[in-house]
Amino acid sequence: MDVIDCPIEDGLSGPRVPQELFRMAHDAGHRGAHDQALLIWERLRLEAPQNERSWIGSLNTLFVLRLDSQAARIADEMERRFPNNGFPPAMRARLAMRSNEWNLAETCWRSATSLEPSNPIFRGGLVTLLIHLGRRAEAEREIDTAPPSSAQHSSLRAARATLAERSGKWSAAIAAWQSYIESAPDSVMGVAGLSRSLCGARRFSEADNILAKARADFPLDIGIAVASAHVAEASQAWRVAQSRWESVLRLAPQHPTATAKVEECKRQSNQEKSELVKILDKFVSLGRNCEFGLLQKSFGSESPGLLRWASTRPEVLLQGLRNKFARLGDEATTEIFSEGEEFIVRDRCYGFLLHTFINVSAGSADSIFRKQCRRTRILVDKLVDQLRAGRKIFVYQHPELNDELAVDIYDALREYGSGVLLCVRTAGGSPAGRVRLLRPMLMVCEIEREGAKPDGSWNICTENWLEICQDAHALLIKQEVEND
Amino acid sequence: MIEVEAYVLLQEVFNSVFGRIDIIVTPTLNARDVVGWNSLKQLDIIMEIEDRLGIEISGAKLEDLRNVGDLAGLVIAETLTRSAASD
Repeated sequence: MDVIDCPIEDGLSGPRVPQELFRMAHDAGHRGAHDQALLIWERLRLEAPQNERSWIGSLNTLFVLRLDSQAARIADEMERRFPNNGFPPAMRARLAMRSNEWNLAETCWRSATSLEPSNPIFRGGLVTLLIHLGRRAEAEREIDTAPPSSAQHSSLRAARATLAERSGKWSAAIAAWQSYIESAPDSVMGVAGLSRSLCGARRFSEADNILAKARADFPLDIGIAVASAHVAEASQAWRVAQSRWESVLRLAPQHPTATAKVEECKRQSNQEKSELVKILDKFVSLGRNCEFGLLQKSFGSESPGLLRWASTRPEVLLQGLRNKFARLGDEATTEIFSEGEEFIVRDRCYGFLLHTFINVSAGSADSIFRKQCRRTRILVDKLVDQLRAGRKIFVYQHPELNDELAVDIYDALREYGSGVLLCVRTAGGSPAGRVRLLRPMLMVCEIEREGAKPDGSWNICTENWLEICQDAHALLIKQEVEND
Repeated sequence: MIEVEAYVLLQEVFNSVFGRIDIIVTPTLNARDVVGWNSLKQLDIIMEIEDRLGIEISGAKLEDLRNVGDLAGLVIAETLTRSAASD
């Protein structure tokens, strides 16, 4: 191969090799044809060993192909040849991160940044590691102390985006990934990051649209394939998720989790036909929070409900029931506000608080307000119809619900029709009991503990809940048989 | 409205609600097959149908919607009711 001299464009020393081959190697990599890219990089490396770019190209491609021991060996060779280049320790850091050797990874990133302090890629790598280790303050410091020349580099934009993502600041993460994509439009990492953040903000359709385009552009890219599978999984589109994990396996048969994911998706996908889901579909949540809705959702029971994602204190529920939820959803008595990253609807008539699951970045408060009022009115209509039809078991959970209050709610509910009320309260240290009847169609029982944790996360007593639902369902059937 | 028209309408509704054109509506298509189709998206689909047909669908009718076939049945029934009312 002819080695040619050309004007220095990239700041790297050494004679140039034909630019055509570099372009071909890059193109192959962008297309996801990494095997082909590796052949070209290796040819360049062997024929022009004095050129650092070919070593870097080879190493990056070996890393993508998960040929880790080969990458480690070539990193050692490169270090001997170019002792002042930060790339070999940086590659060792990436390999160490892949094998969960966090201390080694940190040492290597720090070695790479000390060799090339103004290299934003190495600093970005160190920041990503610190974020992964939960050392966010240190990560922020590393970003803040980056030389001005590199502060806007795509690596540091990615680091900022990752930091926002890990902190659950979805709007900031979305903006940061969009900014990253502007600076590195061909990088699939940006698309994957943006799709993760959109998922975090529950904007699944947008995430999937972005990935659909990326799949068309990079059909062989494993990162895009995995991100696509994750989006389908996060939105619980199990059949789609299954087929996407199968695609991941076709692209990377050795992928560490894809096989297990395919099995999990198959299990979830078949669940919709199970008896359990049919039983869960018979229940309608009246609150007092999202716990029962989350339980139903986790089993694929996905029927829209007014109070499924609501905060309902007992007196608020009683008032709503007694007034047939009149005016709930009227624009005049409804307001919208943001809590963290989400819009929340507050009803001033009764005092209900309703989740919208709409991220504040998804649109103007005005348009979302009108949409939510309309959603609420449809759901009021549905709930009142369900109450009248009386074919459902209405669940109300409150830790300190006493019998008197349970009977009040039951009386209000029976004004509509022959619905069944199941009141669930917290056992308070004593063992959770069986479902029993307090009135002909008023069931009460205790649950081990509440699922809501003080920090806002959930730890639902799934098995306990399932026992309660099955028990209540069986009791209802027994009652109906006796009444017949 | 005949069945084929209902599916054409639903195809447009899905394109609009999900912001994409690669979801092919079929009678058996359901939430397990479409990324982002959850209980709240279901309401967006209903509202989009309402807007396109100029009707109001009672929340009571949302109870038994399991797939696109059920939605098509609802669309046909609603348009028939509307025609009968206007006659």
